[in-house]
Amino acid sequence: MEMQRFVDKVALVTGGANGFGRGLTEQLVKEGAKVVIFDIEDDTMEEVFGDNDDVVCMHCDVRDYDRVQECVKEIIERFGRIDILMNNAGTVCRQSFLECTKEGWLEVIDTNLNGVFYVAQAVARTMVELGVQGHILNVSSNSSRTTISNVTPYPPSKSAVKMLTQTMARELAEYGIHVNAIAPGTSLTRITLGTRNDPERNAAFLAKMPFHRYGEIREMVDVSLFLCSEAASFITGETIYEDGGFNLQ
Amino acid sequence: MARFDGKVVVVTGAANGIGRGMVERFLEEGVEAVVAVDLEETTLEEVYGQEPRVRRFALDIRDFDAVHAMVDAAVEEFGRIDILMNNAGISIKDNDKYGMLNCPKEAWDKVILTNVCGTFYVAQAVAQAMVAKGTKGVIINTSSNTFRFIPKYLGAYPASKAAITIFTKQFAKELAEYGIRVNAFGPGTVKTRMSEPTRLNPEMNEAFLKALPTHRYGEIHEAVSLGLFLASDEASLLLGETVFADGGQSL
Repeated sequence: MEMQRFVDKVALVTGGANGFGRGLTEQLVKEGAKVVIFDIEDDTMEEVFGDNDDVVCMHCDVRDYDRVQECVKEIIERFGRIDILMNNAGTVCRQSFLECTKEGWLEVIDTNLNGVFYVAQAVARTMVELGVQGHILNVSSNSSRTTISNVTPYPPSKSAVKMLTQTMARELAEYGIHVNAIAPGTSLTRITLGTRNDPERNAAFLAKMPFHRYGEIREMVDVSLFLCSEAASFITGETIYEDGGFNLQ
Repeated sequence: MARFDGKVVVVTGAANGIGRGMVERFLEEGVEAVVAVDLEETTLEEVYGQEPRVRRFALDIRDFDAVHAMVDAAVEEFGRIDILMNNAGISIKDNDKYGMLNCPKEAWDKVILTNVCGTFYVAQAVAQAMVAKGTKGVIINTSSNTFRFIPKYLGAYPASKAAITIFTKQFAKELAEYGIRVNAFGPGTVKTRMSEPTRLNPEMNEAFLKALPTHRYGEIHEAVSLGLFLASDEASLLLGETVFADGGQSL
């Protein structure tokens, strides 16, 4: 069933060039939205969305506070408002706790926590100023409740996103702004290539999973768009885990 | 194509409130049949008497044998059960009469027997039918936000709903190998009969709305939307979860 839930909505998707962000962008466009994406991979943005009239690509590193303000301002000038923010850009650092470097730690915290905050705050301010009763969706991770090894700063960064989501939901409720998060498990995105390309780790992972498969990007997109739709009008402050039962193991 | 084309659905607590909203939405979204279970025979008859796709079963979910008879009859008529909305539940609230200090044994037992045991009986009976028929079905239990946002004087209710959230995980983990997906949803305070003690008392109503970030009660259709989302293929990656829709009440 093809729904048309986002006709004439203006959406911003960070990390929109690849994987989950790309899936979000494509589905939002299918359902009638105009989408602006932030990414740092100019070539990929151009290649994927260069010919798409419903998508505007902006080079924006979410760690750059001033650039984020500038880009959000440009969207408002161009489209008049932002209805939906998919605050998705994130990164991972494969270092164990004992080996984790200061640089590795800071890069993840800077992107996954600071970047999420910069974009969310800039967008929320425009929603309040323009009276837009919008939706903000942050991307947490199932690693905010299930421990995983050798990605030291990642789970803390995603746990912080969960709490930030609750704080935002609480303070923005009076403006009619919904703030939620999704917490995907291990899905078919670039971030899991390390596991998927290693036959031994791949087999061990699949054996452990209740449904013996990775999550599909489509499944993450479905939950995310539900949370930003009318059907989720009484849901705010939640982090929805969709990990195929990983936490039950 | 509608989301639930050709599905056979069991809804408990189907005569009123959220359960009734679910049945109505399922009927709009293509189901083959709804098995509507409730204690209130007359209400079932009034609401669904004219609906050819609804089979009515007046029974108390605390009655293990009656639950099994209902599931057997449904499977005999329709060949399978695809979806269970395990929604029947009760709450007993009367100011401080049902606070932990004074909650009468009868009130405690009745809530636990209905919400914990009854919900389990139905889930187990339907799960057995799904496994026997090889149905890769969906079971959605109705939990509540009251066990993370602990209101006073609700007696056994929050504890009973916490139990549902935990056995949802147990069912999910054990039924995954049969392709059965089990999740729960936790509505907040919705405009149903259950919230009438709060809504109809001006003082409690005002205090309640003031404390809530969104300053309103949930609508039945909002709870229904979440329940049906979880029952749909859109939620195919959720397993063992309880998803809350409470307007920020727990923040």
